Amino acid sequence: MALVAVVMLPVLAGLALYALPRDDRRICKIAACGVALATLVLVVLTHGQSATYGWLSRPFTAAFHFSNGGISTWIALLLSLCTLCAILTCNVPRLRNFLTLMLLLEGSMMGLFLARDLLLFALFWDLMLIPVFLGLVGWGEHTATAWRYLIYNFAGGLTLLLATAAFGIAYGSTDVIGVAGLAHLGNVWQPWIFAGFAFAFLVKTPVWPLHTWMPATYADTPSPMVAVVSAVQSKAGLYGFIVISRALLPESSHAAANLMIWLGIVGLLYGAVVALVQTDAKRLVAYSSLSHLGLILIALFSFNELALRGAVIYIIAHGLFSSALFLVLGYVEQREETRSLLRLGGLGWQNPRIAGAFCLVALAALGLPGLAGFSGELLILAGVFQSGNISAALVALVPIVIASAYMLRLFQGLMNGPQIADLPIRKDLSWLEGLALAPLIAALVFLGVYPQPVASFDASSYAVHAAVKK
Amino acid sequence: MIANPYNSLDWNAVIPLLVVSVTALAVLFADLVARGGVKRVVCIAIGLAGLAVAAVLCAKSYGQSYSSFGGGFIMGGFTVVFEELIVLSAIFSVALYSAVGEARHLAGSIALLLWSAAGAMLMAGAGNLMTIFLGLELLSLALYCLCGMSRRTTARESALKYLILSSTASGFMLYGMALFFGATGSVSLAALANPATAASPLFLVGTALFFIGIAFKLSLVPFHVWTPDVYEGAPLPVTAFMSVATKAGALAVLVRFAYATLPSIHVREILLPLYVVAAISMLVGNLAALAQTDMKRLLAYSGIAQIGYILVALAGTTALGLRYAVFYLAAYLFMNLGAFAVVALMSTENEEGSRIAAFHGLGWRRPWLAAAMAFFLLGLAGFPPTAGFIGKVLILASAVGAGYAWLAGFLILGTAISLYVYFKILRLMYERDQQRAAPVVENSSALAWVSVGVCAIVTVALTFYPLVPSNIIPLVK
Amino acid sequence: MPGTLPVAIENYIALSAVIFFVGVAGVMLRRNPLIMLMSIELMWNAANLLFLAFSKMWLNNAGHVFAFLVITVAAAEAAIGLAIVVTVFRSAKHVDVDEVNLLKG
Repeated sequence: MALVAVVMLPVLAGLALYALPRDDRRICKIAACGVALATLVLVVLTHGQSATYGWLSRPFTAAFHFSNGGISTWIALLLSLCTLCAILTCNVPRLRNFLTLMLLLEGSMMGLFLARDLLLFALFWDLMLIPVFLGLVGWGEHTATAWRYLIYNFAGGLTLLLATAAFGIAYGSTDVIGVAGLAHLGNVWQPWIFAGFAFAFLVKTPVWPLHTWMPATYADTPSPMVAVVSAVQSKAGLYGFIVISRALLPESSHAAANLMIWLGIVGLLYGAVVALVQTDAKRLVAYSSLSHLGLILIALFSFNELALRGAVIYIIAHGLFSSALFLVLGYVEQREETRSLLRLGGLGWQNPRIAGAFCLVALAALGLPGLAGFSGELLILAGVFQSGNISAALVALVPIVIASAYMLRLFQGLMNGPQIADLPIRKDLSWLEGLALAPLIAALVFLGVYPQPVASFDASSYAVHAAVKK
Repeated sequence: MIANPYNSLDWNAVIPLLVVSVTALAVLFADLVARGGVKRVVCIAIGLAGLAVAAVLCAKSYGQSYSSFGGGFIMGGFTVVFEELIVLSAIFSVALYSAVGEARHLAGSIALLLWSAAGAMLMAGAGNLMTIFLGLELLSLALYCLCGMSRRTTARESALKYLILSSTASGFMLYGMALFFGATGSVSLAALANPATAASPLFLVGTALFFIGIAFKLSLVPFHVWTPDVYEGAPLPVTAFMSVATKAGALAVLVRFAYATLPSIHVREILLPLYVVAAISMLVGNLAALAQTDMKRLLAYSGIAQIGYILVALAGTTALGLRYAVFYLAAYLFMNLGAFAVVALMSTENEEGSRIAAFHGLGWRRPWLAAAMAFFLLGLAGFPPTAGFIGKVLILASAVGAGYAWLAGFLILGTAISLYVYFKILRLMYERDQQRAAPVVENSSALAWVSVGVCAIVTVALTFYPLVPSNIIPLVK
Repeated sequence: MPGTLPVAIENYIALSAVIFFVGVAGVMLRRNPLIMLMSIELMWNAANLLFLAFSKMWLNNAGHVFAFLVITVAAAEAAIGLAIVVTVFRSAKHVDVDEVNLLKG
């Protein structure tokens, strides 16, 4: 029951915000923070619990089955932490409605990552598109971005739905996520079902060449929302690859492994190179995400346990530093009303605390040892190397070098360099903003020196198969 | 003295139908008696009460299965479920008269709407060709009048257009029935179930003509051209009623014909054209909906696509598929009539607020109404957490399971297109541009709000408790 | 075939088919609502003719009953149809469906 509350609390409380006075921003924000904090606490408290309620018995069995354990717990923690930090410093017009969307977004993604039933997974998959669409329509810069986001992701959602229905018919049940030792699914249907799922996951992650919705969406979405979307929503696809494609459709996953690794490599290089030449700070981070997530895709399809553990650490680490990056960029944008690298510069002299926080986060993003990004990358590379795919491991090293270049360029462009005269002197990081960034940075440092808790999940429940001999 | 040829069981079978018809007379009588402002309240109250009684009486026969009037009307789970759906759509439509509609036509409109519902209910249980025809015509004749019941010129023209096209379709169907009669020598559907008749050319030509008539009533492409015009021209409650009840009645006839009458060896071949038409309807309906500027026209085209989805569930004529078709029809009923109720709340007594431009900025001006509309549109697009989502999953599963994966593909394609249709409205409602925002219409009819609420709650509830009716295989004997 | 007919059944079918298609053509091609209503009547009565012929052929009175039913319904249909034509005529002062174009197909 408490577990259902984790999902329902943000949704219902988000709708209940409508009962608050529209113009009292303070009350709305305090209420929303309270809800986000309560959700975070609930995630911790319900660790290890699971709850099942019947749903369908025909034409296949489906259940409202939630479980808080394994990878899901970590992503749920990441989600509730990011949402809390984002809400804390949220400062947009029509705040109440925006906070409602943030809480709906949290609830729908929470359901997605705690779901243990494919149909339930598909339900939340579609549901989490709506808050972002409305966020883009109501607060974004171009309506076209909202459409692009929706059309790409809904197309993915539809193939996911079709694949789920076909899986249910072929297997007789969709209550299968995280179940070890599943009976075998027939080979006739498997490639089609795999294709349906894979398309949805590739779009959502996103992976080159299905990424074109992503940079514009990340640039246009208000910073608090994109901090959550880039940190957690983009992980939905990778999470799906772990718990659905790899675990439930192993034969097809192995058959498609080479293709996926290639897509990952292209995305990795492409994202890094394009990030080098961006002048919009948010777009730069978006392309760097494309590059980082490509690395995770390679790790997942190397079918190596070490790489999988590395991938999960990196999923959490990327979530932490990308949401911190977007939050800081949001603070900068709010002060200077631009995020173009051409127009900004020398902020570090006026705002040393912003510069300091930004520096730490950027270092985590480029994989400095001692911060969380590094431990993930290291394990991934070791795992990919171990799986025998030496060329992929070597290629994956290149963007790590490029990452240093674009991250430092971003830092240089914003914080160092000559001060640009026409920018007014603004306030440094406020205590509230510091409070929002502190847990993210602390977690980055903690996972950098001690990644063991995240890495030590029980891999057998995701049915990790030994690599098939080629 | 001639003994009464019909026993009490026969009358029992049609009691809900009789209650609805007599309620219509009561409404007309109340119109004569009541004076002034209470007239509207009294007429609507009587109409709703009668429909509620009919719904309860109808539900009581669930689980019974017998044939009455010499096979003319067949009672059973199938009939009950369809009658309930028709009565429900009549209830929601009558409720809309509290928000829109000219006062002087009110009683007449409600009475005609009830008779029309009786016709659709007759179709739901029709066991021979005569009752099918009678039900169809009772439904249609009342609707012709209803469509013309407005001072607007467009309404009258839409009535004329509907009358001519619909009568032509009835002519096709009637000629098909005559050929059936020639092939079997009997007007009962049971006689058609004989596999030997399937070889007769009279039967095949008759089936083709029969399908044309049905396709017209279901407004499947290419027999759909009347739908948007008539939906736009007709008064709002009538449009709401037509969008569900006409289709429910025609679908009942089609299902009884496909499931109980067609010989099972040939059913796949005979129904194939219907599936092709369904596939085209899903695409054309959604594509045409893109260009609409009027909410009623948009919902008309969306309805064309939705009926295509329902036919996908029937692919392969499996028992499970029929249950999902009925489930989706019910889901469609609540989502669609909910959307109509929202439109009613944006209308004044004489001016219907169905222009799509009127939705501009609604999300900031009437947040609850906009949220309700968004919810119904999401449902029609197949988004969770609505019955539309789970209904689509069930339909997909049934089509894939029956070996009609290509139809499932068309459904996915149609849904992808429909996304743009529904989210266009969503975008309009929540866009920031305050300058283009339409003026607010403050219509706060309590009954329409109740409709909105009930529809929304049921739409959510059906997601979590998908009440798929069992025991609804239609019979002909 | 149980019944005997003075004229072979094929002739009835052919005649009714011709009448039916004359009706269909009338609805499709003519633009005067009154003529269109008449054409619809032709379609319906073609079916009636068929019902009666088959009724005789099968020696089953159901066809006769059906024909009566159709005639009754057709009368109601004509009454409503003419009423609607009159209302449209009153408001538009013409009876040509091509000019009835406020609502486009």
